[in-house]
Amino acid sequence: MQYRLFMALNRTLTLLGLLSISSIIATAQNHKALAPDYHYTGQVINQASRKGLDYACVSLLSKDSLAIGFGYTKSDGTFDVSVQKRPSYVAATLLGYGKKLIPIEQFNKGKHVIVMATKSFKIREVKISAKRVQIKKDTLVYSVSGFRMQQDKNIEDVLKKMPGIEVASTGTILYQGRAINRFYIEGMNLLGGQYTVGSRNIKPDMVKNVEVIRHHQPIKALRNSTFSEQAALNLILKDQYTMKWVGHAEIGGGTIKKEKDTKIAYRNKLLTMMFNNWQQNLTMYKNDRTGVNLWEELSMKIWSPRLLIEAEAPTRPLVKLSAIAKPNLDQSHYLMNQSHMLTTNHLFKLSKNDNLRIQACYLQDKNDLKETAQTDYYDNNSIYTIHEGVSSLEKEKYIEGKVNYEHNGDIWYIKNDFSGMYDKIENSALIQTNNTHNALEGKYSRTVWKEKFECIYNTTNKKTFKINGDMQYWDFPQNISLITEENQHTSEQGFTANMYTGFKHKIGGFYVNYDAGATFINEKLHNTIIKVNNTQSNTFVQECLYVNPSIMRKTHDYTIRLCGLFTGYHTDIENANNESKTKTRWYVHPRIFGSWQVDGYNTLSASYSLNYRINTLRQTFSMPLYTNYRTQSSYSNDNTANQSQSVYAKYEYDNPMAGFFTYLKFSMSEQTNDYIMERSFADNIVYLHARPDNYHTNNWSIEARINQSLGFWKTNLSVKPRFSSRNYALLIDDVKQDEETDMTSCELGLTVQPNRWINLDLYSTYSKYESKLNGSYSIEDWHYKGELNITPFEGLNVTIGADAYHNTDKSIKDCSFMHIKCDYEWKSWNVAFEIQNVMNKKKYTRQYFNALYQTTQTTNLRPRTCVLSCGFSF
Amino acid sequence: MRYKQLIILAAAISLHSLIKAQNISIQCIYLEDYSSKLDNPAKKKYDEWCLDIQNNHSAFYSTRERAYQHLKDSMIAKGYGFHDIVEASQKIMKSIQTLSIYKNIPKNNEWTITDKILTKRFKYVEKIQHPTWKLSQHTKKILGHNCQQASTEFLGRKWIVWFTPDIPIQEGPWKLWGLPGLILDARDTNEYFHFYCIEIKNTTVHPIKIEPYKYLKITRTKLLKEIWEFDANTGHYYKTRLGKKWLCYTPDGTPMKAYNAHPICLERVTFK
Repeated sequence: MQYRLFMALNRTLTLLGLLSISSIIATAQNHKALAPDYHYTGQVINQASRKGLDYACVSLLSKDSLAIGFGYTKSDGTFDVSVQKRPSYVAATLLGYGKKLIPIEQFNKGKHVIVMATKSFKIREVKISAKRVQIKKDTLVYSVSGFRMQQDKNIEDVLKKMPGIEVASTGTILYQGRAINRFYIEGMNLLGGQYTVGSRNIKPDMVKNVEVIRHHQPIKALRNSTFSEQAALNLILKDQYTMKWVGHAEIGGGTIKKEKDTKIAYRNKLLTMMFNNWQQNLTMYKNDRTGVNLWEELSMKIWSPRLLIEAEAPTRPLVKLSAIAKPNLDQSHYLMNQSHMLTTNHLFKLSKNDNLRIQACYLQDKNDLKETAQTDYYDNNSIYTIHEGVSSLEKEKYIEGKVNYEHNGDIWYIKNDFSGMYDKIENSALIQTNNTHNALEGKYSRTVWKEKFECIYNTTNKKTFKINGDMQYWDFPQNISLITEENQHTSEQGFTANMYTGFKHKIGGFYVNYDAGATFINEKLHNTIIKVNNTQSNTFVQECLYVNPSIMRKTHDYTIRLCGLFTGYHTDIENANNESKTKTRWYVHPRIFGSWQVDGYNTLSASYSLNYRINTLRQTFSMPLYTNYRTQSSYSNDNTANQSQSVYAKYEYDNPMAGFFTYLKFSMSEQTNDYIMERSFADNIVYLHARPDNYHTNNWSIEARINQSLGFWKTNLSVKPRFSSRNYALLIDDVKQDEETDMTSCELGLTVQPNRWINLDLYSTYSKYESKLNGSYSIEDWHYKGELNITPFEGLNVTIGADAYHNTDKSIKDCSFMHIKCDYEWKSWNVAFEIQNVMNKKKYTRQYFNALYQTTQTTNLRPRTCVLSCGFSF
Repeated sequence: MRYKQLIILAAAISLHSLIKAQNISIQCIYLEDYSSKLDNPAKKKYDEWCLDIQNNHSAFYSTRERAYQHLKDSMIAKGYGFHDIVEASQKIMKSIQTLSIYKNIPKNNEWTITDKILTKRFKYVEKIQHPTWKLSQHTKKILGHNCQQASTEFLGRKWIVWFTPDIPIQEGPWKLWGLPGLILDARDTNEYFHFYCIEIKNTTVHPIKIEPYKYLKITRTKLLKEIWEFDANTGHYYKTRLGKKWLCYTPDGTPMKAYNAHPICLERVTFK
């Protein structure tokens, strides 16, 4: 028993002993695993003084020179660094001393002395362009120097390279797909809606930063109650360009190589500007005969928000001479212009909140255009073909003056706009129509007077009162000669008045608004075909009373707005036989809008609206009227209205710090139409007559834009795909048939600057037009544009550019262009030499079609043009 | 004799070059995107920071905050009123981050931290805290410099940083330092804070000094608590510290609600 007990005890003790030994071994091994294997000690000393260096960094490096361990020297220069893995090098670094790298084999493990010699240290200065965009609350600040490239001659060229900003070919500036609502220079609205004159003439050297003020409400008195979805742009100038007169003068001349003769090309400019705290001025004379459309600089880009029922003077003539449309081609390739422009814009800052702006402009333009077209009209299983050749000369004189006073305070907002405009166009053309030759003429003149008054008052208890009134008068005589050798004299005259008053207050977190107003429209249309002495006239008179209540809830994250526009219309249409049709109608136009700011980057917005639009005189005249020299149109004289409803949704993502902007928008609309156009042909004349026949038109589109800007190579990449579809009805062989046309397009833009000597600007578009009536018929177009910019040394820039147009119709030749520009800048001077259309391409052909017609159009191009110019900035 | 003169001249030149070599003055600009509220961390704010390095001293501060303070001080000195200052400050970028870190000031191995809540300025001095770094073998190029990755768990947050051995300075943004090269990029693993260097330049030497304001002495923990309380419940802070009601308006005129959200601080702290 005792033996058994002894043996059991012995076994237990042995087991315990073994366990303890194994645990000791395991712990020791564990300690060994944790303990560093490689231990390096030494001293770092100064070569000159032989003294130890304090706080030098001693790093143990792997084979690929990466640090695997490091330590710092003590005040006597000694160090002690350990690692678990065998290093390949020991490196000693200290600012102001040359780096020491010792292969591990040469390192004396006992006590190595590393001797460091002083070495002047100048850091390689670096700056990246991530700072190109900065955020200041709701404002994005783009640094111009961060985006500018050598070839950029105006601020518009730089804006095109800024992420989130788009510039349309007409000069309209958009931020995230929406047009801007103000263009400020140093916070002042000098140019109003005609800002292209600034964006295309202010040099990028003058501008320090471009600010995009998101959700900008320009009226201070409304900043607490009415919120905007649009952004404003503000140019911040460099200090040296403010508080004094600055400007630019340019003189340039050259040749336009025509087949038989050579004409003179010119491009001259004298621009003076002054921007200071109490006044701003921009005055410019410019002329051009090199294919630049100066009209775009004067056209309005910003429009005041208006209600659907408010009428405006027409901007385009009802009647025009030629039936051929302008080609879908970059204007500089075909525009044979002789343009002169004079504009002056002056803004007086009368006090902190008071501005007086005076603007005047004059434009004189002469344009030659030569085109030929073959139009095949499909009718009753037959084809009616018209061959046309047009050689036209258009002369235009345009003069406009505006005076604007604005008091923009927190309590009061008072604005008065007065403007007058006169536009005269004379058109003479030699037109050959199916072997009939005609010398035709067209004369149009347009006179428009506008007066607008706006007053807003905020009470101390946050209530807002508004009163607005505007009036417009226009006179628009339009004379053309016809293919029938008759002359048509058309005159449009009109007067509109809109007036409303409003009250806004806040109830329990809701902004409640009540607007009530009246509009009045009186339009007259006289038409005389002189040879047959046939004079007819139509009048249209409309009075409308409306109430527009709305309610809005806004928090930091979301906005919801509900509007219900209640309208009562009384319309009176009188036809040529003095027969009058009177109608009184009542409509409700509901609208709902919502937006949700999901987080700092993502925003969703959507809206729905139902509208009724009364057809005005241009859609109701019943007398036969030639809308061009060979097309006669007439409507049904019915006092009708169209109903339309639309849905809109948008998703936006903007991450300015990453230079990434994108949006996706969807829109859909359905409209009821109350007439369909009936066609007939006789003696080269197309007769169009509106037939009452109700049908629906559906449109929907989806569009996205992805824009990424990188500091690397100053890269800016944008992709903009778009798809739109339209369903409507056409009268074919006297039968109403549904037609669907689809349009798919994609724009791609890429700018890169791999180094300071070279940059590349590429732009490409693809578009596909598809008609789906009687099977599917489509045509695809590609446009490629590229520019290579070389800067061999500071000041000199050479641009080699090419354009190519290609489509899937094999009967049409591809067309390509090339241009070369050499520009040298020295101090304030610059000299440039440019050759446009180097290959001297002469003609461009393109096809347009739908189920009713097909047109093959050939346009004579601008011949090779050489221009030498010299400029001076002061 | 001539030999001796030559030796003295050579020694003087080498001493001068030694002094000159050690007069290092560098400025690094960092951009920061950060989340300030735990209930909506995706809503980012932005700031720009400056790291001034002169020999073994450094200062880290928000350039926007400092520009605003300098503008305000100069306008007050010239007799401008409150409204003028507000109007002038609209034109510059402002920051709500008022922290400044002065390393090796007032003496070696100590740092001075200053901060501001409303109108009160606070200051404390403490021993420099050393992050314990773990080196990784990942590399990338930042601003043309070869960078190596390192990570640390420091003051309550896990940081992943990129440092460049090309610039043998053991500095970095905020309180991150102590690597064998300048830290050019630092990001916390929660993605609340991200500092990234956008500019490095040589500057003229002028001694780094603490901004000359009157500071209230405070301890680190107390300051963190004050900032926490202000950020977490501004209304309550106003009421208890100043005996006033919080009244503030948004640009659209609506009264702003006092903040009442869990703040996110660089030093991860939670107080009740």
